[in-house]
Amino acid sequence: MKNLILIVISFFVIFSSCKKEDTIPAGKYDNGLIFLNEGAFGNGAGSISFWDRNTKTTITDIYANENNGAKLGNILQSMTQVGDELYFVVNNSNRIVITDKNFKYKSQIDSLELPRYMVVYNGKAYVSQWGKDGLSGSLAIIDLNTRTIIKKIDLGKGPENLLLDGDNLYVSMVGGYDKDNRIYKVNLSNESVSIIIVPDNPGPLIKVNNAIWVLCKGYFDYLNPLNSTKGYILKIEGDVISKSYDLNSQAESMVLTPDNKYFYYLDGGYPFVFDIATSSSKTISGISKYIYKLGYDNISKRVLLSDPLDYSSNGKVYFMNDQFQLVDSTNAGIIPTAFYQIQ
Amino acid sequence: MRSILIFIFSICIIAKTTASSDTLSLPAVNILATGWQSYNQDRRVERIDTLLLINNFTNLKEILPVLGIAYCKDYGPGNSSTYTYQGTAAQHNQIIWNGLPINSSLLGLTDLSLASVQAFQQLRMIKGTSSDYWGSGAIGSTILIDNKAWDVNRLTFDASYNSLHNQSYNVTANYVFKNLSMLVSGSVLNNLNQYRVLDYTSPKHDYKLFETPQRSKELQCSTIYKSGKYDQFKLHFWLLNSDRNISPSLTEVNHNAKQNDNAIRAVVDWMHIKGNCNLKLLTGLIHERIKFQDDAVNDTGLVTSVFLQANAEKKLKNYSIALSLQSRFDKANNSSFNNTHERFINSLAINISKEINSKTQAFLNSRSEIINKDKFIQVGSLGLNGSFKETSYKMYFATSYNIPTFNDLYWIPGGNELLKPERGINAGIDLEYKKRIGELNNSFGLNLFYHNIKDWIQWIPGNPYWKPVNYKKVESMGANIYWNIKIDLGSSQLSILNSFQFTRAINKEVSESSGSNAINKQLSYVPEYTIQNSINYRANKMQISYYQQWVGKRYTTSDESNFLEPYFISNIQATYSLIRNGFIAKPYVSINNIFDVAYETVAYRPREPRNISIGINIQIIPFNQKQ
Repeated sequence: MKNLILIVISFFVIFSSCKKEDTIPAGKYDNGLIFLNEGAFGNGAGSISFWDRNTKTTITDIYANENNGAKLGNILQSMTQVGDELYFVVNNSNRIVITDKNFKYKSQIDSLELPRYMVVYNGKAYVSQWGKDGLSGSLAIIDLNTRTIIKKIDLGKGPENLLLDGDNLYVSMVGGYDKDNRIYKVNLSNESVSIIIVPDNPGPLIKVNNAIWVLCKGYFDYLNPLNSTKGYILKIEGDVISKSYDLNSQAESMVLTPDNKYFYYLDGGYPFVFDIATSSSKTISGISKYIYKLGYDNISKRVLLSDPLDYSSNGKVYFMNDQFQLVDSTNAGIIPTAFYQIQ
Repeated sequence: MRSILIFIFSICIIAKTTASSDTLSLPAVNILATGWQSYNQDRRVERIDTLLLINNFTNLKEILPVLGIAYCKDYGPGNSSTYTYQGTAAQHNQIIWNGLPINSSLLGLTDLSLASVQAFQQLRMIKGTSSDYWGSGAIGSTILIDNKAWDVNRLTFDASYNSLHNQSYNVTANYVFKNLSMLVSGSVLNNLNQYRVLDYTSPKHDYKLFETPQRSKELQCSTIYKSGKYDQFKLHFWLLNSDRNISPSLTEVNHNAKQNDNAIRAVVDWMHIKGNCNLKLLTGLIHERIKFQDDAVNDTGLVTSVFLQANAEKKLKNYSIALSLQSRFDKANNSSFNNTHERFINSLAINISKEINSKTQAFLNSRSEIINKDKFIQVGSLGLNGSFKETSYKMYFATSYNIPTFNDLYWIPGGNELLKPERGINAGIDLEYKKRIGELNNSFGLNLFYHNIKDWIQWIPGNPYWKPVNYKKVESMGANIYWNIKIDLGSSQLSILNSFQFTRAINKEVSESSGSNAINKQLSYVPEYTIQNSINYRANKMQISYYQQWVGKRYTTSDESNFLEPYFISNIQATYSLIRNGFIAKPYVSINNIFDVAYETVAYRPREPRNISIGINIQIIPFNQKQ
């Protein structure tokens, strides 16, 4: 009898777990890459392309396809996945659009001010935003339950990339419509703030072991190009710059390989690879195109290079292997800017 | 639909039944001086001003599509509007006001929404290139606007209200004293431009309220003095002040963008027209200020242009020769320039025509231009016009140019002082067949055009900023076919205008390989096909005009991957004239976008849905005047 009860209980456990699996099916877009496309500035709309790993083909504008032709808004900036929800930060529309994993619209958060990136900590979203004038930026704190902005921490010119490290949030100040040279370290438990002074316009941040690596983009002085500054790669340990590497020109994008050995970045619009162990940088030859942004596909272990072409037609995405060879390419939307794998 | 047809039919019946023996005598527009040509005779010129008498237009952007010859890239009511013609861009179409080219030296174009037409007495469009005559920018077309004055004392008052919550008023007074004629015209617009559209970009497809408040004031004055038999002096000025909020597109949010436009334009000329020898001296001034402000940008552009022209024309036995010396000085500044910039342009145009026989004329034109003493531009043309039986023809082969704007050259960031002028090779053939059969006047026309524009200037993104470059070569060709019918039925008149336009304007070369997806693709916002039809019926006191337009798809990306859907819109207007001695009152009603079609002329900027305008035009003409 006891065995029978055990068998029955086991059966129910197995059955119920199987049922649970069936009720949460894999997303339609799990097996591939998501390309975010900014869309043309002003009278354009951002779009999402899906690159299918099996077929190696790209489906355009999947958000519109899933939502009866709806558009995300003007200048799609970034995406953050929170559980089974996707949060799309739409810069020039001052909003975050929330969808499920199949890109079905669920909700949106409005009244942001040129939002850029988002991270989540303790049920709250932290969104960097440049401010209405592009100069009075802040960190918006959003309650994810009510989906409302509950607080803003004023930071200054161009809060940009965000790196969550325990209770601390690093915010690079890229300058907005001007320039800046600070990285804020915000303690999220008590919201105290400290500053790390760096070269001009710090942008992407990555953490490798106990160090934080920063790509300072540099600054182009339009009035007097001679006053322009070049980009830098910095290694920050214990909130102090421990190493600094100057670049040839203004820089953009930084993506880390999953083995934490290398990161790729753009210097003057051309891709370079940085060996973290030897602290040496290497030019990737054979790519004569201007590259707008970089991404990395952890599954195929390929670097993704976005080519916006003429910025007013659909762009391209190139796949580069670890031998620095372009092995594939596919079409994207207008100005491909960021790449994600749905988890 | 049925109720609209019944409404139209009813108006026709009312018009017919109210027809009486009272005749409607519109005061004639007498052109005080004749004999001076302001365009090359080998180009087809379309009279636009006749439409002013038929319809109650308020600005230029409403007129051009009705003619079926231009596609207006319109950002919606209250927002800016420019036009494309024969596959060229807005900066390739020049607007000449009383002899002055008024395209902004900063932007290279004129916002058609800021050109009130109530004070314009003559509007013409040169179809095709006239760079050899009018200089920079006149590649696709040239619109000639002339203020004149009536030769009777007259006071006119216009008021209209539109269901978009728009109001407009105009008062025009004309005073004649001996050889002096003065016209003063003041217009005020107070528009809310408010309408609801279905927001297809929102997942719920809900309705969104669009609102573009706009207030503008305009004053136009013309004074014409005839001195003796051969001389005439003219003074025109045009003051404009416009304030408007720039509405966001469907995919944006309101950035509190505002634009303030101020302009002072003045021209003085003297003409001596005697027999075979004509002289004309002209001086002009344009001062403009454009201020744009939003949450992030506060930009003010200032430009002052001074013009001097001396023209002489001599007619010999079989020849005619015209010389034109023109000097222009531009001074421009902008918050985004690092200092004030100046430009001197001096040019000499020579036009020679020869009568080959009584029905055929040949033309040879040349224009040499020096910019800032160091850049030399030479363009010219060869042409013919003539007729055989009921068919007239015009044809030309020309070269053309468009110099970079101050913004192209000096805008920070990106301004490129190394820019070359855009250069064009252009050709056109125009055939018109006219035949009168009883009371029916037929005219059938075919206009073929070809433009090859190289060094086309385009702002392109770069690292780290956008920059204008001589980016591409564009080839444009196509045809305009029209068939116009006018029927005189005694006390009533019917005219039917039909027009079809085909334009294939493609990128032939781009300067960077990254833009290769655009090769052999249609230019953005240039429709390949457009069709227009209009019917105007006048029976004594009643006048009804109906207009419809079909516009084919327009690509919004350079690789033809995205486009705006074709649209079909139609408008109808009915005007009734009450005539008493020296007094004419013309109330009118118009329904625009009768079938409430949702359409866009710029992506994500929905145009106005069905809307109704009512208005009245009152004219007071004192007794004992010639009409």
